[in-house]
Amino acid sequence: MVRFVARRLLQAVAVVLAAYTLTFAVFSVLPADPVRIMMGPENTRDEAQVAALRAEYGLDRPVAERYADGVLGILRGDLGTSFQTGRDVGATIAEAAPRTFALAGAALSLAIPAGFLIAWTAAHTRRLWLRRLLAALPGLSLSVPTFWLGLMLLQAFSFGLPWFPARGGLVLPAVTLAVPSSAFVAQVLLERLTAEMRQPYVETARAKGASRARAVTAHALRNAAMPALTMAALLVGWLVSGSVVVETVFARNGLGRLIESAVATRDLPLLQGLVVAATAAVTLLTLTVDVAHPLVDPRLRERAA
Amino acid sequence: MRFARRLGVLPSALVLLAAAVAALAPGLFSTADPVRGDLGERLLPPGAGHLFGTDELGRDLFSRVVHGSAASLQAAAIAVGIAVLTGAMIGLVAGTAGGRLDGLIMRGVEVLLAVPSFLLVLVVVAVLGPGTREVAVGVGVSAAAVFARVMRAEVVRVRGSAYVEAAAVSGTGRAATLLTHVLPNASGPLAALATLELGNAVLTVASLGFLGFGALPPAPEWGSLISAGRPYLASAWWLTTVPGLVIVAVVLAVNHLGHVLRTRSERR
Amino acid sequence: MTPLLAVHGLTVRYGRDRPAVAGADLTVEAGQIVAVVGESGSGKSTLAHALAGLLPDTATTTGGVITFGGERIDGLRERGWRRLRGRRIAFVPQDPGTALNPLMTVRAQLAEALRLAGTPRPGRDALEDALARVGIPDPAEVLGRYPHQLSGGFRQRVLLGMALAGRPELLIADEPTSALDTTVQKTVLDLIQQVAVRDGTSILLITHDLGVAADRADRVAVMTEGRVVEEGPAGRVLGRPEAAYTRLLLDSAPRPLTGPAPPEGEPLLAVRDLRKVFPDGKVAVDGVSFSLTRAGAFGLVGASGSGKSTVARMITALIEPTAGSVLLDGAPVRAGRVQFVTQNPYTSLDPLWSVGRIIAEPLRATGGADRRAQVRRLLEEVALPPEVARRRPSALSGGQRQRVAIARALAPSPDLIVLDEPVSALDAVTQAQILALLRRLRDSRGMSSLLISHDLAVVAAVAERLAVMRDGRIVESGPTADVLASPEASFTRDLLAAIPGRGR
Repeated sequence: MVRFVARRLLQAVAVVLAAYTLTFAVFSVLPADPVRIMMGPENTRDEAQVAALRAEYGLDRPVAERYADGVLGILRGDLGTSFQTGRDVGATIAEAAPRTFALAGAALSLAIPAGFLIAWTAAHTRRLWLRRLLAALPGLSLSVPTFWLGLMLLQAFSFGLPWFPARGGLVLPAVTLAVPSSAFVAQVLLERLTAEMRQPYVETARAKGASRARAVTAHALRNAAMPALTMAALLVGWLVSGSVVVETVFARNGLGRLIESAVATRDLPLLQGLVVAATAAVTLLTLTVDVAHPLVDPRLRERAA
Repeated sequence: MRFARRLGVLPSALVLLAAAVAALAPGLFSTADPVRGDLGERLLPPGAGHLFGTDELGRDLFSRVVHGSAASLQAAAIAVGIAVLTGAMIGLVAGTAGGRLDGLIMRGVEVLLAVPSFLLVLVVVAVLGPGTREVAVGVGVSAAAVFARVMRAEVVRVRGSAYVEAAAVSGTGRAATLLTHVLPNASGPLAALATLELGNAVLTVASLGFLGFGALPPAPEWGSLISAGRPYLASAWWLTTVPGLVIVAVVLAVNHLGHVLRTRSERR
Repeated sequence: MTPLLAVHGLTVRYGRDRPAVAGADLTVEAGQIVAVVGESGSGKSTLAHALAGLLPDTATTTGGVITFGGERIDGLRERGWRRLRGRRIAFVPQDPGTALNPLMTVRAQLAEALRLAGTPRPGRDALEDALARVGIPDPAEVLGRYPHQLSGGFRQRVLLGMALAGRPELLIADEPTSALDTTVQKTVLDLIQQVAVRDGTSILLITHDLGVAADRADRVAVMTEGRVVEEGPAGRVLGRPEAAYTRLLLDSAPRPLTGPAPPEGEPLLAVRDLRKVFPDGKVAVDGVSFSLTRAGAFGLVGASGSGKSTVARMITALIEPTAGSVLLDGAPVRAGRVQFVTQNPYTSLDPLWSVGRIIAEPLRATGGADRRAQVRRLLEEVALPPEVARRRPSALSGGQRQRVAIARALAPSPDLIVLDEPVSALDAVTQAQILALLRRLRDSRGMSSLLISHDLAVVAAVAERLAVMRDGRIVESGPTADVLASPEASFTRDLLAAIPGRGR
């Protein structure tokens, strides 16, 4: 088990470094160089200025040297310096993170119970119309652009009915982010639950005299939970894209706005740092699920040992 | 259930057809100028003269939505095209080669999948700059990894099937088996995935348009139309509401068709 | 006296389809074993589920009366069923491999069964007793195991133990042994029979196997197309059948070839000291030798995991032997000279191809002339109408698909056809038809075949010589008639004794 965890940990580090390598390759090895990208094609006439900036950011050093520096930096936890502000990227991210974590946390605390409830009810009910309705709900929610949903909520509950502030409040942004997230949770879980409900062991449980609710909760859900959890990494992906648009719609500062401004100002080191940080978060989550999986499933326990 | 599904296919197909016609020949739907407006007709609500109302410059919103479908749908279609072609190629190579090359390719795909895809799109957009084509490339590149993984899984599944074994015993060569058994059987799930991805791509393209990284003004695009309506959220609801509803309708239609395709390919 | 269970005119539909159970009648007296015999699609499994209140939501009961212990139970709601299930009516499902929750220990699942059956806090003694009653020798050990750590036979015992936890009056067993090897099947059926005698539990045994019914049941009900077409004492129904369908079913049971085996001629296929070690170190085949006469039929019998399929794969050159040789006419096997028919006709045909194209596939490789005429001739040989050539596999039944697979194998006029469990996925009547086809092809075109099966009766119905395999080795071989008459190896005797239908 220890060896299994250690091996997975090494793999996770390799994935994060590979993500860094990928952005490094895109930013540095492509014909355009970061300074030109940042300044935009129309402002790069003045070669002397370009050269000066290159020197300032240390971009005149050989590619291999810069790459090695970057990798060593990441292993030390140093993500470089922003082009725009000249500040440490790691510190900038750390500063913006808490507000986004609050948003994502609030959204997930709505989305996960809601998603569970939808999937559980759909799997458990005998009413066919209710099951169909609940099963169609996630697909409907996931067809709605998140930013538009935020605007509609603003329109209805800030301007129409003055219940929530258009700026500064947490409720509307959290609800906006929670809708696609809960749809995602419900969809993944319901798909797994439906598959598990067809398994003969559920019938065995019912033959023993278990109620439908018990068959779903104690048997099917237990088997569906872990495979569904392996999709958690995708949920983080959702939260990243969701936070970018939600923070823009509700004018909240946070990681999403930071990403948006890094792209708008072409602050490549900042964007690179954000990519590495997000990948690390996703990979860490995947790792946790992978390590937890054998704890729940005895069949995997033997294989991991 | 099956009947209900089939019932939904026709409206979905009609919505898609309408959107496609709007993208290819917007003049068929609307003769109003999408770019130049009549300042005397500013911010009119939806009504007989202007189906979707007018914006702050007196431009007809219906016409802008119709003309915007070209940018939105083209970007989404190009993105899916890029994703399918590169992804399927990578997956096919990995699935047929097997062994070390397969391992190496799939490691790379795993890395791409570990980066949140929206970030990947933004990285590409940051390098290439804003614009419809740039957005399409970004969305396409970020979705390719999923196609690679599905294609590889399909190739491995079909290659391990009893009918490919039978083909081997019959003396059918590797290349012929690949062309006649593996590719056709792998393409069903891939087509379903491509359709579902088209819905995703429409949403992502709209998000990028909303953030200001999409089509350059004054050309209309669905996401940027919604963004342009933001200042009038309290006074002119239709500027944000109506284009959003159009996006929802198109994405719902695409996703519905994708699910039908997926169910069909799974039933085989 | 009122019977324990009485069913009158029960009708069950799935959606708008033709009813799966169409006016079935059935009676089970206290302490009796009643077998419901039928092929897949006969409605027997739907009947079993209806009697346990376990029909899926897509099914609706549209008619009929079910009484249990003198009370009507057909209109029961979920709550009412829950008072019956596990306490008075128990159910044993078909596939022990998937019928236990993989994430829970035997202890947890058995305790749940005991709790639901009315023992509020089952102690260790109660749990161990429940397992001891189904013949598990060391209950304390098995309680701590997870399902995947148990063999199929033990899993089925655990399921039976759970079903009996509430001391039910009626036990419904839906094909309880069809997923098990023949010898294990016998021990589980012995156990079920023992329960009926010991506890006076009535048993409703659902099976496709007439032999099982003949051996175990007091009464037999034969089902087809949703109806019970014949019902009566087992000896009478199977001895003097009245319904035409029962007679067809009885005639379909595989019978060993009669007459002495033809003398051994020049060997077509010579297998010498074949050995296969898989990369994980498992020795699948360990020194197998046999030879097959031209125009002969040779059978290879063994339980799952005996290595017989690995032998087939080495002969068809799908996998490389670790050691030993396979010679066809004294030379290594060339491509196309040995053809292969696999077990599952549902996966062996490309779903996108037409039947004509499937059959012509080997012709394309060898370059045959006028393919369409050839395809028509091959279809005729396997007794399929020519218009089948245009259809896709999904439009065909299992038996038709297997005929297509055989036609494809015949197409390049191979020297030898290897058939790996060619009928195990098929119903009795279809099975008999395919076996007859194999015998006819041998007579008409001198087809040489190697037939592999877990079922000694199936092999004996086609092959004049056979070998019995166990743990990768051949334990006995010789002319079929001799092996059946005087088996030498104890394993072969077990195998013979376990064939259902020989008990009476």
